[in-house]
Amino acid sequence: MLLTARSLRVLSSDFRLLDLGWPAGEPDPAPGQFVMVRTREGTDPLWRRPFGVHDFRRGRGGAVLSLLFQVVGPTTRELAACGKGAVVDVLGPHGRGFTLEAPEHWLVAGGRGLAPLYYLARLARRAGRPCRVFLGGREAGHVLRVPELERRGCAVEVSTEDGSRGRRGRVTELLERGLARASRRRRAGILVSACGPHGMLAAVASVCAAAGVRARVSVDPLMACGRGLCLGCTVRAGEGYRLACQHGPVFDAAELSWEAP
Amino acid sequence: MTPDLAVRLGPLALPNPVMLASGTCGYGLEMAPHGDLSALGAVVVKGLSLLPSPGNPPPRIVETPSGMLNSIGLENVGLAAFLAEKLPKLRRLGARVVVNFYGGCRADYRELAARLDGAEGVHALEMNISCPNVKLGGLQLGQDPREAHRVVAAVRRATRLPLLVKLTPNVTDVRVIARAAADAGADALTLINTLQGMAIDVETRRPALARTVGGLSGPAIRPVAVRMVWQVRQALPIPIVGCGGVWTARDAIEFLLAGATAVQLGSVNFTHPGRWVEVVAGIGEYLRRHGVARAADLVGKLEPWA
Ligand SMILES: Cc1cc2nc3c(=O)[nH]c(=O)nc-3n(C[C@H](O)[C@H](O)[C@H](O)COP(=O)(O)OP(=O)(O)OC[C@H]3O[C@@H](n4cnc5c(N)ncnc54)[C@H](O)[C@@H]3O)c2cc1C
Ligand SMILES: Cc1cc2nc3c(=O)[nH]c(=O)nc-3n(C[C@H](O)[C@H](O)[C@H](O)COP(=O)(O)O)c2cc1C
Ligand code: FES
Repeated sequence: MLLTARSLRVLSSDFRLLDLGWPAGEPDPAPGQFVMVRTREGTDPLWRRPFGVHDFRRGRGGAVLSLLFQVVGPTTRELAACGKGAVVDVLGPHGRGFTLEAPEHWLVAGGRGLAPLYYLARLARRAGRPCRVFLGGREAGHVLRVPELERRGCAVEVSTEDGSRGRRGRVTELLERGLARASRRRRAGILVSACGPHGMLAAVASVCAAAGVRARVSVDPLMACGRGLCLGCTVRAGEGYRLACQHGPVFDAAELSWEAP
Repeated sequence: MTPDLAVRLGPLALPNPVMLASGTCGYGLEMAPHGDLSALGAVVVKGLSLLPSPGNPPPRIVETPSGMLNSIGLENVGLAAFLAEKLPKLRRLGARVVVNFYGGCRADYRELAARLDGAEGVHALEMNISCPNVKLGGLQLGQDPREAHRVVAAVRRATRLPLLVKLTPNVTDVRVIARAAADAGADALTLINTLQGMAIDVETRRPALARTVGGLSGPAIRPVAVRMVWQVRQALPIPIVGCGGVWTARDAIEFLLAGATAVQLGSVNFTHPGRWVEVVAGIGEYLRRHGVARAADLVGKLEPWA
């Protein structure tokens, strides 16, 4: 379907936030689901690109889908040039998202990994659940949307690898420290939801397993179709494989195998 | 004038020349949200093996210029699950079903064909002797004319269903294998499966695919596929199904002119899952615009240079 750009915001040197009008009659996407986006005619690039649902709101002016993206290649470069009124070709929403049922939500985001977690944070807060967000990035410019998260009542902690904002180090160290301080009883009510690079997700899985806390992660393999046609987006799970686009992109961290890439 | 889109692949009659290629449309059911499956020429389901197959380790796909490489390795649910769970639903949707299958040896091929022969709702078989991504069967069979003849003949004896044989482009002269398959009793040939290719991630210095080499598909291979269809058309009278990089109705017509009686849409289904509807309509529009009464009249109607 063709969605029309409502606004584009520059968040930092290489991150943008794009609001797209969502057609009347289409159902609401769930947090953790994604859409498959195409910005140009022709066959190069050949595939659509997946983007998580960053936010979704229904208002008087109709429904709006927000995408948060890092400018890395042809599709994101063209999305970054979408002025008001530009048209973007979108399929979806696809995939299985995050669950909201836990008494307390802890979110761990690495860079653009914040994209699908923001909508989850907003819905968790709307449901009155405590929500703690650990934001990590290479540098200050990769730490996004902190005021908005705080305004919604999330407790936010920041780390950067170069120390230019928040604590120096990895975001999973913040998570580990937080979990170590939480009582056993509190830990039983926490659900960790994470999105970011593979190494970060592996660390989240191991920190949470050690602390006895449930964790769900959104994975990010290459996708050609985004809906189970090509069988290309496989991730290793136990003995076999799962399709990221169909069985995920959100999985229980304990379900996936973390040794191999 | 409403043009007549119906075509015949030997004994297999299709309402129009547009099919969906194996491995790019799931088990067909996945495509139902995009259009009426009964209005499609036929759907060729993901290649089946006797037993379920988990496929190859990831990463299995990578994008290339106007193309993609895959090393899925024929992951599939296996024959029994297909017959029990997928086929009844396809039948209810009114789809014409072509079952693509492969084996590790001649006996596997024969058994698959025999068991599919009696299945209600299977309109034809497409045997894959051309997959570059599995260790056994597949490619070697499709590169050796004597082996190809033997395995096609064995399947021919095992089934009365219309039999398509899908050939690999990874050969010096595709006409040699085409003739072997035709002589062994194929009703039609599908040309082509993927071309062997390779891509490297220069940052990690690793091959982009875990299995290093994969199959190239998409518009990047269309000129190769059109050439092979044309070569086989010149050499043999057997019906041909053109496959490789069809993105639009224009591309489908290119294959018909080269000598294909029908076409299969493959990788395009990933980017544009409903494209088949437009391709069927676009062929009709072309026939009208050129005053051609029947799609079948377009087949092989290439105008030679003087
Ligand atoms: C389910 C899912 C949700 C996603 N959501 C978002 C999102 O909300 N915001 C966002 O910014 N990005 C997201 N991504 C990643 C995004 O799809 C890719 O960055 C996309 O390829 C960018 O397209 P492009 O044409 O601009 O650049 P490309 O040319 O595709 O990519 C540029 C560079 O990034 C690398 N790359 C591409 N895709 C991936 C990948 N999946 N993993 C690792 N490296 C990759 C390429 O190898 C290349 O070096 C998501 C990915 C998945 C699978
Ligand atoms: C991801 C993928 C999986 C495929 N699986 C099969 C298969 O199971 N059996 C088969 O005969 N061909 C398979 N093919 C080959 C396609 O059916 C087709 O021959 C090839 O992709 C060329 O067409 P295209 O360029 O339109 O994609 C597969 C292709 C792709 C891209
Ligand atoms: S992206 Fe094609 S199956 Fe998941």
